[in-house]
Amino acid sequence: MYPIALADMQQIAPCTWEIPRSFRHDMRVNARLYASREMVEHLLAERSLEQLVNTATFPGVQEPVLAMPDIHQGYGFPIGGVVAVRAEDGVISPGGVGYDINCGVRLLASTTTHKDIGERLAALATQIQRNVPTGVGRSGRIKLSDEELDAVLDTGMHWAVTAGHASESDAELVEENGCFAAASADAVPERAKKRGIDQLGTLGAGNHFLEVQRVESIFDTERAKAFGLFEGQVTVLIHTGSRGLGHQTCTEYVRRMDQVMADYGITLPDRELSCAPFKAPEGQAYFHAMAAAANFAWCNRQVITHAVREAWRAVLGAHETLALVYDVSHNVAKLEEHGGVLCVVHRKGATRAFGPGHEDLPARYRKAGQPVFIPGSMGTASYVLSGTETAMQESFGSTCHGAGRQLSRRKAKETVVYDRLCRALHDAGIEVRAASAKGLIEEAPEAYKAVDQVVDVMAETGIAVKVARLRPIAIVKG
Amino acid sequence: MAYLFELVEAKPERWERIEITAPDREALLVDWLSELLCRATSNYNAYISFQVDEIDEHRLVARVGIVSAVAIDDIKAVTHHELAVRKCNDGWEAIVVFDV
Repeated sequence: MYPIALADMQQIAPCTWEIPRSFRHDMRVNARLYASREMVEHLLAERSLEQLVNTATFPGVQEPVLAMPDIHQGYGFPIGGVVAVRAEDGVISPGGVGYDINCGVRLLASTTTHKDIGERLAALATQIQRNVPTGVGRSGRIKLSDEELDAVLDTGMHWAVTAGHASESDAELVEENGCFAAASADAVPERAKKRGIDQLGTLGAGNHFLEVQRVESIFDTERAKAFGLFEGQVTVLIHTGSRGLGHQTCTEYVRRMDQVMADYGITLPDRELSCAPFKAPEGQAYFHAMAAAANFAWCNRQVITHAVREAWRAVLGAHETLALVYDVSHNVAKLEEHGGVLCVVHRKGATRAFGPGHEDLPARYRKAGQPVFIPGSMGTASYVLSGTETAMQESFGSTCHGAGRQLSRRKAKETVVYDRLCRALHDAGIEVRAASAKGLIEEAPEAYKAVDQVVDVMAETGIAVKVARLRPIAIVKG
Repeated sequence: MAYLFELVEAKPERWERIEITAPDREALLVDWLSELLCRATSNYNAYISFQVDEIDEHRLVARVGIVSAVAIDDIKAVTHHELAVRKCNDGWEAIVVFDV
């Protein structure tokens, strides 16, 4: 263990801190943290910063490794970390993406207001829960053949469009247009396919949720307009990932890389950081498999979107629409050029936040910058942000991904009282549809950091611009 | 498995043979638990009886008793994070962290 003290850190700006590479002999680059002083003091009591330092030891790692203000302790990598590695001679690490490959969020914007929905909100929440399978061990409504699953893995949103679950414009509003070019179903382990084949279109459990929200405030009118958002509007946020298929893909590649690291002369402080050179057969195989699992996750969120749209029309009328604003990934490794260097950018619990003018953005957002969605805890708020040029210069085009846990699930179960939580959500005017009491307790607002503070740090550093704040009005959970 | 399933005095409906090989005993433990997790979540089974037939540092052969069951809780994966297996005075101690 290498405990980190405040004295080991240098404050280089009001919300920017660095642990210099001289802190530990095996660090290849500095480690940078975006946080308020209060957040830093809280982080010193846990081990996420030590985990961040561990990631600074990867061969080919680029200056610096980054932690966002929602950083918390993970497995090997911290959650809320960004690690860019030279593609030419660096490594790729499955643990740097995480078990829930392409866990992410998407925002849907309605044309209606909270006031217009009125008393139909309860029926809407119930219908969405009926349409979207939630919780542990729930199969999806779609039964895929082996060939169809391979099509999902190889072509992502193209499959969703062909199968009638998405429009062409939906596909344009997903990172990579919802289809990772590197994806190969052949690289996905057979057991991962078996574990995930009946889970397409399912929300799952844990921190995954589906939330109906109202736009509470607009901070940047021009960008909000570009994203199709207005005050009082009702939106839907969907948070889920690649389910068992992604979990098993990561499991098998962590194992494979653990076995070959020594052959490549790589030693690391934690086996969960196992990696292989990006250009080696093991590195390429993982990249193709991860990309395919990411395609599965995009299709998963799309099939859920389709089910929510059906619920929307059933309750509110056939004329009502839900337009996809954008879909962002939280757990993924991408090939991107930064500072003239082609990098494998690992984002684990972090969001891509490309600034205005970037050619990878849909034409309609190129002036405003990339939309970014930051889910808070249920009962508080979520944010819409926009990527900036500062992010491109400083953080490999990345920002935070959520409020970040501050209580473990066990601690939450010990401290949160279910009846009180339900009453508090009800008093706040929030309809709750949860598959289990346990799932609700573990995700109680007190289990998370204050999302406002996390977002304020990102705004203060100039890495993201605040666009809108969204308040939940209905929650559907596993 | 008690974490994953709500089973009261269930008896195995059938048995399966599982063979695991790994580079060391820590990895053997992770691979064994990962194997059970993968089978449990893919096949909607609970594994409730265990008969270890062979075991050494690199290999484990076991028969496992199965019942059909759907999990009530979710484990994403068995991680290698801070993994440790060590002998102590009155047996063995293992640290395994699950991603939940």
